[in-house]
Amino acid sequence: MHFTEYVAGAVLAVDVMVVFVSVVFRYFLHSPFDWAEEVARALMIIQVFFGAATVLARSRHVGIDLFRGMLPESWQPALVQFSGWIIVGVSASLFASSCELLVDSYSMTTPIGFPQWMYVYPVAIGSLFMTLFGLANAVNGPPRVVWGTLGVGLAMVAFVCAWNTWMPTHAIAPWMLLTTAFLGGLLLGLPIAFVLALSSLVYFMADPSLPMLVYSQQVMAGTDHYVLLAIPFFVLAGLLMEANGMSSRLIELLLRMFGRLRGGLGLITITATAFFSGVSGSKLADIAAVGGIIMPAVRKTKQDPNETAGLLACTAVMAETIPPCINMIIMGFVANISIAGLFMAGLVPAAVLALSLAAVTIYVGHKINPDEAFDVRTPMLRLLGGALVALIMVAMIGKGVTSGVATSTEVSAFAVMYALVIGWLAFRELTVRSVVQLFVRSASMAGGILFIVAAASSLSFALTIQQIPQYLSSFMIGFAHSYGSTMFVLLSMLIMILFGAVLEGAPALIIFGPLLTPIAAQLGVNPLHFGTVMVIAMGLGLFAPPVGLGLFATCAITGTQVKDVARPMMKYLVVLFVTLVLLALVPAFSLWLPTRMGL
Amino acid sequence: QAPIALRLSSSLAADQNSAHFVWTQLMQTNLKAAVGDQIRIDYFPNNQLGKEADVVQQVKVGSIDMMTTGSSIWATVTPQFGMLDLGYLFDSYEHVAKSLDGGVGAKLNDMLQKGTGCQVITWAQHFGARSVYTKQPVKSLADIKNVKLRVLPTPAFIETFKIMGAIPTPISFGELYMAAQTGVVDGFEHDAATVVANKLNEVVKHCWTTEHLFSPMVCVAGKRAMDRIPADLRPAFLKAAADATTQQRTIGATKGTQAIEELKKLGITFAPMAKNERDQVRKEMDERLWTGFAKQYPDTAPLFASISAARG
Ligand code: NA
Ligand code: NA
Repeated sequence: MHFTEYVAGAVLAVDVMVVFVSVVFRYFLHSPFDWAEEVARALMIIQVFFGAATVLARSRHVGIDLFRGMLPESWQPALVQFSGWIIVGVSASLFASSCELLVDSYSMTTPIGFPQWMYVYPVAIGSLFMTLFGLANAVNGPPRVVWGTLGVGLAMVAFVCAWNTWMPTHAIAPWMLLTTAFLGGLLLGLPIAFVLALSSLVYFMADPSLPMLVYSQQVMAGTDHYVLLAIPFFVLAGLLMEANGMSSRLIELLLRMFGRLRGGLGLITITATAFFSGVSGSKLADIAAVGGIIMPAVRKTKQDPNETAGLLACTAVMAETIPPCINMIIMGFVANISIAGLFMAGLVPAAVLALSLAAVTIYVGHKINPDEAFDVRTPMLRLLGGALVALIMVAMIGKGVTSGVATSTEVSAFAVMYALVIGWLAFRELTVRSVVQLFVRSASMAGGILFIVAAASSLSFALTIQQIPQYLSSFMIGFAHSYGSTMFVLLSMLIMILFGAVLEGAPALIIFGPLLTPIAAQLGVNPLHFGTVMVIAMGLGLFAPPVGLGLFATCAITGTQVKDVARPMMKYLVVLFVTLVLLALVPAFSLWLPTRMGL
Repeated sequence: QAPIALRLSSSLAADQNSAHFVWTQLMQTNLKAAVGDQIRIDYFPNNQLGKEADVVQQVKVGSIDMMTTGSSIWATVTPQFGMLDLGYLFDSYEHVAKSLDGGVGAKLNDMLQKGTGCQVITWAQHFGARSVYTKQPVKSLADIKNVKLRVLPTPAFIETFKIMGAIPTPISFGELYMAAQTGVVDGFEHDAATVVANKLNEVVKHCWTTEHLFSPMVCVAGKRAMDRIPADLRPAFLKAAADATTQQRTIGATKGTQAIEELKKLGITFAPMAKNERDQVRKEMDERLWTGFAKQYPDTAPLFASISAARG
């Protein structure tokens, strides 16, 4: 476990250097590296699969056990054990498939001329580790349950194989197996990445036209895109800004400035998330940074932690479109929309959402005494320093994306370098040890996110082979013709809220983004407007009770319970929803800034 | 009896300006006329089944039956295919057709079939030659010195532009619009139809018609796909493809000119490459690029000779 996480962390560090140095060579020395992109991508695949293995070892892959919780209490241990065996089965199949892929790849090169196996080895080795770690988890329990659940699992596989072999005329169709695996996985509370990977795995196994090596190829291909590099990089930048002392200074400054206003604590939560979101790409990093600092202040000033936790979860929805943003990167890449354009399009909607949340918090809020919140008063100069460093980074990312030095992907490597060097120079709080830990943590965190992306793309391949996108898009086109493009946008929005909740965010974008965006474009809806609305809607689903994973994460970070937070959160959610409908109806909110900047 | 459904993948959109889509539609029509409903082609545009490098592998193992592409991606399994992307190898699409139909295509197909089991169904063409598009005016070899150009990230393209004096800059196509707009690159090389389709005309002003590459479009089918087509239908299948190519080449000539006219209307200025410069560059390519390639892959030497013989 330590081995895989340190490998992933070290590779992340090398990858940052490769991208950073290649930009320097291109922009300042005018001699770009031909190989940089392919090498950077290969390094990212190592991070993803080694990171995913680490996350598995720690049992940290995200999933929802709400549905499983509805089943009888006495079944729970067996169901958990059964999930463990499914994870072993999926990982082992991925390993077997990637070995086949490896053999086939020895006779191929990449377009630039490297051996193709350099992409495949990380998948093979990573999935081997996943199998081993999964196995360690699966055998960990009372022997009767461990071997009993394994027996049931194997019997189910044997039954399906036997049925399809001996009853070819009544064979269970691949799509039925896919659907059953998907619903069954959700019910079991299987981590979402494995729900997706399992559904596509059974499809590949059942469809005779799909050789198994294509399974690992599609899982690998899901993360093999240069633009997705921005995800680990922006996650890392965010964690570095938290660790280097910037975020605690920023929040203390805000508390001293606004604490005495009515609803001050809420206003600070909104401002701090917005600010932090401007330097980080990951919502979870934003919430951890803001929640970790603001919750102690909430408790010391005797405010309601559930109220603040609910608001914090809603600020994450608001900040969904503040660049840099992982989900916008994913949306831009799957639906072929300009990522930089999306970054600009998201700013005004985020501001509108922030204002609507601020209005509620002022209406319901109280005043607090900032002096009660902190035991020690940090000198003002240091607090201002923290704010300045953050401001410069926000400006640097904004400027970087529009300046011509680097592409929006490459800017993320600059953000990491800035957070490291300036953060260290300005606050002197980073130690070598803590920086190493951060690289390791971000590699695992990004590995966890990107493994979901990988699994989702293998599922979307299966759906494409099954021609589902064509059926769904002809339905949506028919719907749009009967009810108009506005209703189409609103329906798409509802689909994203629903699947954002069920699929934990990104997979909803991967599956529906490429499907709905071309239809929107045909109907004359601007893709930047459409993309922005889709991303916010997905975020709303992700953070809404009862299944939204983002809400569970927020509660874990703030030490609260979903059942306590849900009620005080409702008023903020309703306002967010109403504002989102407004944003969907008035494209000018998202298009004003990109139009002015000529994007 | 259920029809044989063949999966055909393309990286381009299902659009009348796409050489792949136009060929596929013609193929579908011809096939229907020849064999009725016995064979059907399902078209998967826009890299829906994976990016080209992955689709090559899938055609090899049989999960995808056919693929329409430029020739360069097949160099990842049969490096000799890379020769067709070397700069200034062809003077026109007539030259491409004459060379490929006159034996070069068959020889390359043999190499592909020996190495992978896949086979070339047909050599069609893209719509219009590839030229250089820039933000600042570039009209001569002197102007292109040290200009950062996004080129297709393959050795053949990179070397071609290094010899011309530019700085070839590999950037993924998805980031090209922004990269050209903000000035990460000063320009790029592509065919006019693609420039129009991707609105790249919004971020450049000038075109220097280098016509450095007349890029063939190749349709390759895997071994498993060919085995699925009953032997008695195979001649009809191949004839349908050959006819589609003949029709597509005629359409291609008009589409290429149309796209350039469209770009002119949109305000792009066009400067032709001077004859003496073209001759000079072609000589340099011959000495520094083609010869080296033929040395590295000796079985391509006779192919270079027949391409030269087919010239003008
Ligand atoms: Na199969
Ligand atoms: Na952000």
